[in-house]
Amino acid sequence: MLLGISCITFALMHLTPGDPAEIILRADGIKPTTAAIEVTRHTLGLDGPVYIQYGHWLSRVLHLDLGSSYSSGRPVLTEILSRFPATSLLAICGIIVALLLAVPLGILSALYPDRLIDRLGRVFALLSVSMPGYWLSLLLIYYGAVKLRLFPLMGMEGGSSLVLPSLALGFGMAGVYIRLIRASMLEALGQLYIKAARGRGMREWSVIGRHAFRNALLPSLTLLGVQIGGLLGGSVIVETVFAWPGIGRYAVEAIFAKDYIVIQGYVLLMAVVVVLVNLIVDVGCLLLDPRIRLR
Amino acid sequence: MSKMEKKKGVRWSTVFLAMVTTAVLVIAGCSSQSGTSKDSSKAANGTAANAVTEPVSQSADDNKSITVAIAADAGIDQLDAGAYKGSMNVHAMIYDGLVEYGEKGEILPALAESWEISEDGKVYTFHLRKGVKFSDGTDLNAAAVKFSFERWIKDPANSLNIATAMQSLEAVDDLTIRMTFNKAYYPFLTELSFARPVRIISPSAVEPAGDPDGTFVKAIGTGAWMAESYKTDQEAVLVRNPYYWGEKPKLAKIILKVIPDPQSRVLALQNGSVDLAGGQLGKIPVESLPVLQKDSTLSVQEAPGTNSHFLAFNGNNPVLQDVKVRQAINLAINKKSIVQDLMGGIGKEAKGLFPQTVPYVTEANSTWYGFEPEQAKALLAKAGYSDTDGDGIVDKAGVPLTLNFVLQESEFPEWKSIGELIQSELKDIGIDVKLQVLEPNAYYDALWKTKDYDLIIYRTYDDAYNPHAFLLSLFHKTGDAPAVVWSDAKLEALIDKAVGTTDLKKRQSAYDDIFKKLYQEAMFAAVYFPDDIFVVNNRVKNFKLGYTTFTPVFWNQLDVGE
Repeated sequence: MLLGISCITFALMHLTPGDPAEIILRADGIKPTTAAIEVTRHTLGLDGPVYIQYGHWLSRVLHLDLGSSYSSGRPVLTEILSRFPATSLLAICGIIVALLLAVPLGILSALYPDRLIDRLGRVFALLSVSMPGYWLSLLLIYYGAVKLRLFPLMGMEGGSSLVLPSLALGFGMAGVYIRLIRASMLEALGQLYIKAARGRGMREWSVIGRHAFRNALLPSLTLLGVQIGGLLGGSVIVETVFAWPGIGRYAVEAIFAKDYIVIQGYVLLMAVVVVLVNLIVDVGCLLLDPRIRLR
Repeated sequence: MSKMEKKKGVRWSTVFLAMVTTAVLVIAGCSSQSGTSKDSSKAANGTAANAVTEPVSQSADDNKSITVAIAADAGIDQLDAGAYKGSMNVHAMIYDGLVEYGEKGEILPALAESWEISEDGKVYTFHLRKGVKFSDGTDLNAAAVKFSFERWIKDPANSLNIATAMQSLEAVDDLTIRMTFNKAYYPFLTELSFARPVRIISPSAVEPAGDPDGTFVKAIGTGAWMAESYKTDQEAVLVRNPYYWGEKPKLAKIILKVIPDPQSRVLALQNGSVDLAGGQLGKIPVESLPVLQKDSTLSVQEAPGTNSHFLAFNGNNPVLQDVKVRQAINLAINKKSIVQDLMGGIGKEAKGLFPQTVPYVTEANSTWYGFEPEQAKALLAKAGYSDTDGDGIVDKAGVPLTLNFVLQESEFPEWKSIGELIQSELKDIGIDVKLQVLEPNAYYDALWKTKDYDLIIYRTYDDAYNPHAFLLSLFHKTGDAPAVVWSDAKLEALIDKAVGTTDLKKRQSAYDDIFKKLYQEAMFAAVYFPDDIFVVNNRVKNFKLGYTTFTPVFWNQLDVGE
């Protein structure tokens, strides 16, 4: 599968307009004469047919060498790995914020459908889904850092600098989970085994927590699995607005610069991450729901 | 409660415990990571500090520092004087050239105190300043200059004229260096004032030391500033070079903070965590200026820039080969309205290819078409176009006059609104314009290669590249390839004449002829002269805009008040 992904990205990149050699020369402020372009193409290994370039790349990858960026000359693997901690830290904190918002709100909305808390949850979910991330981030900076001066404005220095970007990231995700948890909780609460548990005189929190919530968690967990993969790929908007030294910004800059080698390395590593995360989620589902094990 | 139930409960909590543990582990892993990166930057501090301990005299101003917003990483670890890597602005702060670019392109002495140019304009002899030291304490001499040039001058990817025309480079004595070229070309000196790759680096900055092919290790120059610490994609800290030969900078430290988003830069200025932002360091959005102007802690500084935005015509299109059509398009564009209505009064009305901040551009040779739609219609009629079918679009021999206007928004968001305004203005004189917004790479492909446009909006380069380098790049053929913007043999001859003469008067008159020809034959359409905008915190004193994009501010004069 990884081979297929790398093959498709390689082909796609070569189909899009722009010659990397020329782009690099122009970005450097050099007037690209034909000779300069030829030389640059040669040094970058871009002068052969595409399938040979792909072959070279593939053989290097098999030796765990993702090559060096065309534009900066830095090794791709170390560049990506050095940015990965910042991105994963932000992703995890964003998920924690999202879950802290969504789990209580989702459960309460399900317990008291069509009451005030459910309506609030609905408004909140709507806001969360429809508010553009860019705008929300700027609002958070404006009130959190400029007006109230509670948190650092941007950058990654100390724990307090994590607060605003995690909120921005988590808030945007929370909405879907609120609705999802609410719906699956309602479904679970209507099941016979809940009635049975209640009938046996179990404490209400135990019925909700152990029986209903646990069953209601599966769809959310599956969705989370899909989302984590995306989050670990870096959130471009949040990273750009908060000047967060993460992986998303790096990848987008590479796309604009047509830095094939960086894009290729990024896609490959992200594919690995997604596969791993999905594996973990599948295992998580197995642990949560023994029925899946039986199938 | 059955046994089954209990068992399930246990498993659930196990899963939860496992999730929490992994989360904690990952977070712990991250924080230990950031810990090590801090340590390494400290180590960098340590070495830098060790190198400079002797001559630093402690005084009250040693903690004066300002924070500057930059849009992209400074790349200090790759800041080889002879390479095109890292931030050009930081190049110019750490390294000095032989000469410096002054107001309107006047060439001022820098590391070279004086120089002589031979009669034929081919031999340049530079006399170096005495007693100049690099930031590591080693001496600047002719050998170091020779070393610096040899690091890049043979690289075939380099197209600077000093590189392609250089025949020999010799250290005549300890403080004299001579360059011999195979042609006369007055902008040699201008090229020597560039931020890169022409600046001088210490032979001890590479491994093995003194080997022109050596690997770059550390940025060691003669400039007023040197790198203290650096975190990729986050910040670079520059401190005073204790050995600097010129006037000692008033600030002890300049912190360059990476803030990629323009709106975030505005908020950082408002919050006071950044003291200075703008220009090519990281643009300030025009729409945010009213807010910033109202802020009592900030001041907005505008200065006329050195570049311009213009429309290029596709010379392969027979319709645009008619000078009357080109003139009509020029007459239909309301340059004043672009400044007043679209750009909020910031910038100047375009009056040619270059604003008068560019060398050789004078009031006398800045003549351009005004806004005369009636005259434009008359010219179209003279060219044989009339609206025969009454649809508002003029036609000739049954073919309506439709033009394809290519632009990009990513680098220049303002081009969209400018394009729409021009579209409606050309509609008024009966030309149908189709706007085509492309992504930057596709846009550049259209401009340089495919020529898949009728009209395309572009801009001139900044400062030191003007006017010669821009004219050579876009109005002059390169090798066998025809000129990019407009191809005209007579114009090319005039450009050759202007750049090849050492006589200032002849050069000025050649430039006058070039600008006149561009005007008379309407070889492009003038659009807009932008301003450079900087926003500065009021605690910063002595702010003065520089003359080039790579020295946007006179850093050494900046000071902070209480």
